[in-house]
Amino acid sequence: MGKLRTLSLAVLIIVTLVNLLDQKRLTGPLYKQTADDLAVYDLRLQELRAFLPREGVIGYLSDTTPAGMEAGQDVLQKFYRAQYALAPLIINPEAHTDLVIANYSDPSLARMRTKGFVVIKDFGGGLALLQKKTS
Amino acid sequence: MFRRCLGACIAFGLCCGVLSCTFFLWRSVARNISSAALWLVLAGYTALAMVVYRKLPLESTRPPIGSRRILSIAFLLVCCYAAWLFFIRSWNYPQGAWDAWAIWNLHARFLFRGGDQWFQMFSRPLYWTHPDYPLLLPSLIAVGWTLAGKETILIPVMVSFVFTFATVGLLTSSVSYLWNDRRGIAAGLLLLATPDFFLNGSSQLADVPLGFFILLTTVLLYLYDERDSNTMLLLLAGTSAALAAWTKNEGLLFVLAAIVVRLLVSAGPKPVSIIPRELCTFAYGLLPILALTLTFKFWLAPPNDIFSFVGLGERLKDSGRYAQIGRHFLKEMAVFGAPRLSPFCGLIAYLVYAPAGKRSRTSFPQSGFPLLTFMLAGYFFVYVISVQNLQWQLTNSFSRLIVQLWPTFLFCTACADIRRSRHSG
Repeated sequence: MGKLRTLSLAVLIIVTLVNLLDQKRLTGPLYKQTADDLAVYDLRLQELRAFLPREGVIGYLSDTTPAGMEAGQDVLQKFYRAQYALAPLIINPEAHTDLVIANYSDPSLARMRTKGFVVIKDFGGGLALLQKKTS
Repeated sequence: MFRRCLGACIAFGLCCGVLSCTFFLWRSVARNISSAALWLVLAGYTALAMVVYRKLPLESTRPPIGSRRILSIAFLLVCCYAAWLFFIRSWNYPQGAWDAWAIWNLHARFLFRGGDQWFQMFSRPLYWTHPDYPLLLPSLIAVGWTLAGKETILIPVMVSFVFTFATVGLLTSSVSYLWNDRRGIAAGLLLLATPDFFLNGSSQLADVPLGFFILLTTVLLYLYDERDSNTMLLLLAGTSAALAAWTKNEGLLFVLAAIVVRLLVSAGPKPVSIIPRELCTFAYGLLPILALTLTFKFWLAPPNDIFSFVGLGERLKDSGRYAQIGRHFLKEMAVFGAPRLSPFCGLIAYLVYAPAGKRSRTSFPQSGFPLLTFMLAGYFFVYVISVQNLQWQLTNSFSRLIVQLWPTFLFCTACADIRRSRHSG
């Protein structure tokens, strides 16, 4: 029984250490954040926040139609991140508001698709605040 | 030491939960919450936690415990290493996993930034943020931000850190207190060695806090049966169960499970006249926070997106769904922890290493495993009636459900062994 206990204690400690060391591998070393990281993206959208109303609803334009957003992981993630950054303002891709956030992956695509709008502020990288042109 | 740790975990968990409810109620009626006023409330709850800690009927004299100094030091070193890993992971992923920022931290931002418009989080365009999810975690994060006077990612990291290690502390101290420190430390090591538990905790998700309250309720119910039916423990168990419901929707199922299993299994050997009294005491602890949760669910939040009466009959009659869910349950439970070493290997070692022995108290009812079985059966049924894509939902949620129950499973395994010793010895 004594040997069995020693052996089982060894198994328990091995399982613990191997799994913790494996978590170290999964976690990786400390790294510097890149522009793709949510925290950096969040900070970038805080600049946009200064130009927006504190609350209410605002429109949203992206690479796809509102209905097509669910299919594109990147587009969807950008939209979710924008909502996260700008809460409690509600971002609605289906809303027809005068103020609209444009959040494109490709800035040239943004220029092409936002012809009915005036750019209030271009934040670069496909992110801009637009206002509907009054005819 | 473990008695103090157990008392601290109980008092801490309950006061955190009640603080979250207080903040939510306050938020519901006040446009702004001042930091100074919230500091005062926090001081009040800290005092309350101290009172709960002192009043807990935990004996200081325990059955003789052998000296396990080396094991205790090894355990503390492993805890420190796990804390370091938690820090690195939080540094690399400060906003947590997708669901952490897209659901929990987003809701916290509405509570903190929203002023009198915080309830806009329930708006139709935000259906994808699951606005029907209860608000224990978002409220606690918003409490932290209000106290700090600004939004900082440190707060959600700290909240998840505290719940992760409080769960380890609660499991270790409760098993150590009820059994012996060798057994308790082995259980704590096993929990720390469970990759899914650690990753979920450091991802700032709500499954670990829910797992904490499920474990806390189970521990309090065991202590109640152990401590000559001290009503304070049953009252606190009710509060803890309600806090589980205030943490995640699965907590509502847990409340039902706790009541039904308590009635069917635990109350069985007791005189019938005691049952209503016990139920009332449990209800006194349960009802205030459960009422808040149900008010939130039925009056404020939109309906849950996985239930619908449309096509319910077909889903219930579809035998293929049952087979698919059953297969997934078995497969996921078998590979829990994979591709790392399975915690089940550790569990077997744990049972051999810290086997049952003689014990002075023998009044344990065996309600833990029926409780877990009820929960699993409930999860199974929810999958059957869900309107979501079944395979997608199973793949994305089932491992988290195991994480919610895993600490309690480890605790029950220890107690099941105690039970065996009662019959054998």
